[in-house]
Amino acid sequence: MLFNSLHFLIFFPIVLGIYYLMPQKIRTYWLLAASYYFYMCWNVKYVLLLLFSTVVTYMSGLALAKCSQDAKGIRYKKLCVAVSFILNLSILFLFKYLDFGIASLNQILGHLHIELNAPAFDLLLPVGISFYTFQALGYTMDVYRGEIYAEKNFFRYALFVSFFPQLVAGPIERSKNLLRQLDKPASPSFDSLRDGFLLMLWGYFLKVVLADRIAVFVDTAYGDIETYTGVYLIVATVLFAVQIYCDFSGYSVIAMGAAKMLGISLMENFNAPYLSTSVSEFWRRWHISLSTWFRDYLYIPLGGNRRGKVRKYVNLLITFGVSGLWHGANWTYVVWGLLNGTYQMIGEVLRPFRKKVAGFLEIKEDSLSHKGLRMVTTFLLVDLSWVFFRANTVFEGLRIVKRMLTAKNHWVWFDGSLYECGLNESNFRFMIWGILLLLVVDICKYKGIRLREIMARQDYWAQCLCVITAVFGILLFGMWGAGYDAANFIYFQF
Amino acid sequence: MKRVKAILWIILMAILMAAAYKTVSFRLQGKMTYQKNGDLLRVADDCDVLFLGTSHVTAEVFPMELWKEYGITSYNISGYGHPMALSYWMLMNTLDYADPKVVVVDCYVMESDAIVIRDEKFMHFSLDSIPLSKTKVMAVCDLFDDFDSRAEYLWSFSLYHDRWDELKRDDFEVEYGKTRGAVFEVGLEKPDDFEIRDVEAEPIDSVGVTYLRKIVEACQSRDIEVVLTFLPFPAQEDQQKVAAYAGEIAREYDVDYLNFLQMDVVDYQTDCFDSYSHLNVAGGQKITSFLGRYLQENYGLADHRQDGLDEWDADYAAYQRYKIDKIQSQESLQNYLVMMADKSFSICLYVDGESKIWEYEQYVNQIRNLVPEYTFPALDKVMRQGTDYCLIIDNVWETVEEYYGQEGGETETSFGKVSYMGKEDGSKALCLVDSEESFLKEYCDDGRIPTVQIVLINNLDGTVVDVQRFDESLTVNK
Repeated sequence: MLFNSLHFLIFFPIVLGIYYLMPQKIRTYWLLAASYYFYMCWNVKYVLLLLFSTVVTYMSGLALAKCSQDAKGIRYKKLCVAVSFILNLSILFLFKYLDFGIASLNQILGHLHIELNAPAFDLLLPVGISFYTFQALGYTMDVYRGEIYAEKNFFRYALFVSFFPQLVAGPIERSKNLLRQLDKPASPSFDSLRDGFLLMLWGYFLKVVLADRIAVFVDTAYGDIETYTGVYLIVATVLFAVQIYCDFSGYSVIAMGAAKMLGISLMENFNAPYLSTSVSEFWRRWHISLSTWFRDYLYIPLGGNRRGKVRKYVNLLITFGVSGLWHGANWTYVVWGLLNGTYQMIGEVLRPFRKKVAGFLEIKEDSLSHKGLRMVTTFLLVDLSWVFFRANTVFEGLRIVKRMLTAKNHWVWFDGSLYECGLNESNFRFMIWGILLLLVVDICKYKGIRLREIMARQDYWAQCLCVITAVFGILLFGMWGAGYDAANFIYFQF
Repeated sequence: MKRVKAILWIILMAILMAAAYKTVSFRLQGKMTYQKNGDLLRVADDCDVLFLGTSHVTAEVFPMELWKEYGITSYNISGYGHPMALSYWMLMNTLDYADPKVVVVDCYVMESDAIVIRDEKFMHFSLDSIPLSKTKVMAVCDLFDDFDSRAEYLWSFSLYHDRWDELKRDDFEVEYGKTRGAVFEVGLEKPDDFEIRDVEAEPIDSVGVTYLRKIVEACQSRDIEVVLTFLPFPAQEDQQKVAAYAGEIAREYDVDYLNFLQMDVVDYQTDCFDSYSHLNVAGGQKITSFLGRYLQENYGLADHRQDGLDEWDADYAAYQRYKIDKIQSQESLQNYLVMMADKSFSICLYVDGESKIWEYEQYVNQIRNLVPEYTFPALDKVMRQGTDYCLIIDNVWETVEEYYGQEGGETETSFGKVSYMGKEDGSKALCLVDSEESFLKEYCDDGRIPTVQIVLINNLDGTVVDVQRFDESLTVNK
């Protein structure tokens, strides 16, 4: 069930309405039933995997809680964590990486002239498996570290793992935040309803008006790079950066809004990432729930930056390589991850030199122009890495980069040819206006201006007008309904 | 108090949104459906007859002609490629608003197992103008299995919402069709080879037959008379067998059956729109006229022309204007003659002796087809001699006058006195209506020489509504 499907638009009000009407003590069960139904709408059988992950991590939590603090107890604790991780990651590996591993092995052996030809299993990738597995494993680690108490109520814990707004594409919630709120589901107030509704509207705008409109251009250009070469690919690559942002942050914002309407606050997943002035800052603003997960449960356990510079860089590369692999079973994602790790490594290495040059040239580092330059540079670096994220193979990614850099069709900027790449002129122009609106909203966010709060201070009539305009804007200008396949959110595949 | 205020604002917002939605969704909706069935609900209650079926019915049954000629009130709710299932649901939805005395069902495609039209455009064409109701929900649920399709047909906004960049004046000032569901197919093709035989009926077990039975049973349960038809086209043997089996079904239910394949109502040489399936508007006129007479004689349908149904008269006038526009838009003599085979117009036609049309039997046949019951004695001579020819058809007084060669004369018509003077040594032919200026011109406005010239008179008021001149290429040359 996609957020941008009619099915969800019927499902959610029903869930919300009944949730409001029922007594507080049974709300958990209602949300749990709704969450499992939500998942089963995609595949009934695969709900067993969700259940398996839930049971394993729930049991590991209980076992961890019973361990004593002595040496034997700590060994036993480590064993519990190991069992939980091995079982969960085995499932993840089986469904997500086994075929990739086999194909890679066949390829490597093929280069060595060894014919193995191990068959692929072609297992259907369970939607959201990376998200709920990581969320559940995060819980195991939090209990192990003593940051939270083990949850005794199985149904509440099952809801924590399967909470439908963020089940299949995050944010990957922390047990400290979500479990506590599920302990006593709050009675939603009018303010949280309004706030949640506005968030959902903004999320839908990002997804169905912007991301899916941009996708038409990007898919057309990337789908035929022989015809749409040079400038087309440059524009498509820049637009893809916006598309993936709108697509993914759109999902997160809808998830936050839906949860908010149920009286539950989810963590912020994006914070104006394309206004970052460095790649490391970008990763503090992009997919925050995953970045912090890797920081807390991989980078820091590996030693973080506490064991010298070389080890820090190695840890950085490992973390980003694994992060790439988390996104998908393809070398393109690994290249994308390593590229981002490498950017940061080079940024760290060059920082003293950069500072010296800036001092020598008397460049004010906090000036708007300097910040702007760094933002653009960061965007271009990140955007270059998205090429590999979007490409089907590493070589295709390299070919796209080559075709962009050897562009010789600059007239395309001026002669209206861009309107023949999937989007007509009116749709193309509308897309540009939409992106400008997104930029304004992100600048406000960057500067700490909370637009929803400003709106909440206005008269009701003004609020009504805004809501009606937003609803109709999405209905009219969104890419949805018959004639469009309800486009999957890009991050569903992860 | 704060909560009450909030609730009030939510209610107000919902009302505003509903109002805005209603306005916006109608503007965005594709308007093709209104061209076909836009005024169905407005007049459904008046209708004594409903016509069901495929494009055969759409192109060959003209309700407004039935009104003018017989005073029969009817609506053509057929549609392109309508499977029987869709015909059934079109009928059931219309019966929510109508109380007809007779339902005429064409049995073409009853052998098909299709439930919906493969081309979704035509499904929307038929269903979109039907308002949401319990019957429409039942129809859509019966016709479609999947949730998305059902949503698309029950909430067509989901299909049309992105028309914002193609809105035109027509979307704001919607014009409903003038034809009560009929469509004019203007064109002429030679039919494929076919031979009508006495074929044996073979039982057919199809979804189409199941729904045909449902149509008949639904009508009989409501005391509505049913007439089954099989409208004419160059039918091959397998289609003739289907037509024969339709007769078996009619006998089974004790309803009338008109198998036009076995009748001599149309002339396939002049009345085919395409070579294999549809009749053109000239053929449609004949079918309509036949059906009107048949229904009035056999079902005692009242002549409503004196019943004060003013809006039907007004709609007929609009329909006539629509036909005139359609005629004026024709660019070839062939299509013009197809449109002119219409009893609601009178005609003065002049053909120059040197015109190429005498070389083509098709044009001569088309001229004969203007008044099929007339023998055209002069026409045969003209074809042999290759001289000038003038034909005056008065469809009000039902008279025909022919002149050829150098002869001339005067004839009284419903639209005035027509004087014709043939061409004599060096002089040009003249044809005057009520002693006005001759409509025959030696040259067209652009200097070309016309070889066929036609005056069209509207029978409603006797006024000249069109003068067309065709040059040697037999295309229009105003």
